[in-house]
Amino acid sequence: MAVQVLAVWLVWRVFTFPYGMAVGLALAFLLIHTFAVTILVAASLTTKLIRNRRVAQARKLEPEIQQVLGRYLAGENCSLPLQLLAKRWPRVMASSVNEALQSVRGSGRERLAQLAAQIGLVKRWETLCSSRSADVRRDAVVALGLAGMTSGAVSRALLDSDDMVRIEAARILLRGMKPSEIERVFGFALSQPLLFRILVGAELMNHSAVLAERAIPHALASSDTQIAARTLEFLLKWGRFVAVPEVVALASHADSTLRADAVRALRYCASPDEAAGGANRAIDDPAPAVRAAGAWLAGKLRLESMVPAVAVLLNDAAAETRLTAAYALGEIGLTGWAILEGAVASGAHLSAAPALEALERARIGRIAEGAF
Amino acid sequence: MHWIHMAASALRGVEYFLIFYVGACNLFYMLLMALGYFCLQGRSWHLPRAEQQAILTSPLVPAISVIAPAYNEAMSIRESVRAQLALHYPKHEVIVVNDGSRDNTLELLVNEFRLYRSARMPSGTLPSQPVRAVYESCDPIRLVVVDKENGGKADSLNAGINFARSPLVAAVDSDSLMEKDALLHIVRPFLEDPEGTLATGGIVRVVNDCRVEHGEVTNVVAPRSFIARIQALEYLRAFLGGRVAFSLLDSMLLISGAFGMFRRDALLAAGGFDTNTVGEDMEIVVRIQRIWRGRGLKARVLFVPEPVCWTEVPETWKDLHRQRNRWQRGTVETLRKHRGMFFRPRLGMPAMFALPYFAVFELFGPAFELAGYLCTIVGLATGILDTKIALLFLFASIALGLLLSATALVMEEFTARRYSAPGDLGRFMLTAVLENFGYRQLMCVWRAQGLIDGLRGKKGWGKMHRRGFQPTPR
Repeated sequence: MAVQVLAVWLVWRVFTFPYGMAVGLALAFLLIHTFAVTILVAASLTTKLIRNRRVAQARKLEPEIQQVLGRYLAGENCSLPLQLLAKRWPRVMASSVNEALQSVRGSGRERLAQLAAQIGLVKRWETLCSSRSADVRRDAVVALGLAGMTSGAVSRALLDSDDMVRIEAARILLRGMKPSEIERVFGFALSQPLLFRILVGAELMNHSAVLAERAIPHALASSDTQIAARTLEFLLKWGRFVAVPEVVALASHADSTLRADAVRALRYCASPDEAAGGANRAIDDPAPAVRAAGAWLAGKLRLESMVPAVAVLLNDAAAETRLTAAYALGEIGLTGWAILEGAVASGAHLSAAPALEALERARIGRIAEGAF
Repeated sequence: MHWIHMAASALRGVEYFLIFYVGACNLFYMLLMALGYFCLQGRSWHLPRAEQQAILTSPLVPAISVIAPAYNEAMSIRESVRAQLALHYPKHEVIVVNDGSRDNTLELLVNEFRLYRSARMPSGTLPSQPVRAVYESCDPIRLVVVDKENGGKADSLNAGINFARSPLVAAVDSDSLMEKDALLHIVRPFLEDPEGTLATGGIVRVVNDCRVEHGEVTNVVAPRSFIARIQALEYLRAFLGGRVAFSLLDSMLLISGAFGMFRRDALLAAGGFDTNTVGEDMEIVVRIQRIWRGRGLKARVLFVPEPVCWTEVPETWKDLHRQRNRWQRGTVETLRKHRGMFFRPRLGMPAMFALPYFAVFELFGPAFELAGYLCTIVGLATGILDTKIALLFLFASIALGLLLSATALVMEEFTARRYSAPGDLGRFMLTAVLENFGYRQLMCVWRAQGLIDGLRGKKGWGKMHRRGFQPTPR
């Protein structure tokens, strides 16, 4: 802003404009801005040209580099030519090694990682981990991860200010398969926004057995209800059977939201008897969300013995509970369907509409999709 | 002769005020553009391919209901519904609300998507015109068609919200096309801060003359017709400049009706879209912020520059006149309805900055600019104003306007780069020059008319004629 004002004033002082000071200043302003826009357009075109040139250069060099890398991977001693290439074309060399690291596994990747360290690429990537650009930091973290350098810069990247860099670091640490790191990432994920949990959640799921030993029980026992709720969210959304008996206790927690989540999670984390008992208790809960969770669980477990209890919820005061109960009856099977048919036929004010919707869904085989 | 001197000096005074006003208006917008530019450069909103894939396979993502009101959209409804169903998102349903169409919109939908009359019940209680029937598809696609009595766009959106079951709802125009990954991008702020984010909006671009294949824009070109090209330029200016900066300043008041996403609970708590305004898109954004901020809660409304929605803009002057008049009336109605928000610190930046900005510059700007042209002409004709003052006014309005357009084009070139044909940049530059000689002044007249109509309480939308998304070989 100050530079702009100064530039306008200087132009106005240096050149002579007609029609006095006001018009002069306006014209000076116009000149400065037209100049600025021209410079920006020129810069845009120059950047485009440079980028195109780099791409062309890389296209020309890559086959040669890849050939030498192939020979190196086959066991030939090509360190010297590769070092020379890295010195002359560091950018193309870095991208070629990075690409090769992505496509090679096992001992080949180890050899490439050694080469990366030897020709200074690892050092370069470590330096780039402190770049101002988040994209550059992210690429560097990925490259280090591929080269198997999971300590130091990658570990620190878990605390980066950019969410994408943190996510990449978490993924790399998870791929390292060290139980301590897996638990660390899980604990860290519980304090992160939903985006982080979504992007790392699928990879965490692959380690659910390791996590069920210590990390998940520890998180469920946390005094912070948010940590416990997020752990239950993982358990529920993973949809995997993981034995975590601590969930049973949470189904009686004082917080109704947590209680409802725990009741739903019983499907995957408790024995069938414990789950049935939890569903039974939940149906009589004072909180509508917990009652709905109880009905949902009864439907998913197809507990025919609970049909009468769930049928009562068709007339619940909460609309969501009524609909969930209807869907649960639809999922339980023929006994539930009979109750739904009765509710439709009765034309009762509260129960007829959800019963009709659930019955229709059940008959066309779409009941499992759920109401919500 | 005393009164003549008095009148002359009054005219001069008014002219100086108008120069200052119009200049300030344009300079302020330029400042917003600069802010927007740095914001766009500073953060990449684009989700890398790998992350998009991770979201697509994640069970943790929140479900989205895409609500598309349709009134007499037989020309493009099948194409746009297909495009909405094909959006890349793991959990989304499409709810088309047939707003009592008089053409065969409903029949086309029923036949095309094998719809059956469903027993789906509403889960919301927003007021709307009576629903005649609800349809769902026999095929494994998540499409719901709500057939209701005619009640307007806001009424249809309310009906759609009632039948939606997802925590997030995307309000879209059924005559617009969304890019495949638009939902993945527009949902991002909700994933970053699910409790604090109330609404997000995406960038709207002009589809006229672009090649559309299977509900997807495959070749982006500058519109051939002058009137559409000017509007494409206006959209660039508004979205890449204004909206980005307003979002950065936590001052978003407007999410385009063509494409916006809301938290369903926020819409239900606010009582849904207002059916008594033609600016329902702006009104709802202001109202939910008023309610949330009034309760002392965080209320983020963000503009995400990455997701793109393609819309067809008017190609006749008559349609454009109607649209601009309606937009201006919508602004008048919203600002009038929420005048109690102005300068209330508790309501944050929208009340302290955005609403006053809209009132001072957007609402009265066109009328003042028009007055400026008239004063300049009268003043020059009568000899009361000298050339110097006239030049100053032309600088404040036309030269700065031209600079704004050029800056918007530069921003487009530096950030999104959607127009790949080398000639397009030149065509847009030429348009940026030409729009200042006639079009700009005409817009001032129409918007000033809209201001008067809005103050008088005139209602009604008017119908826009569309070509539809037929593949257009070029």
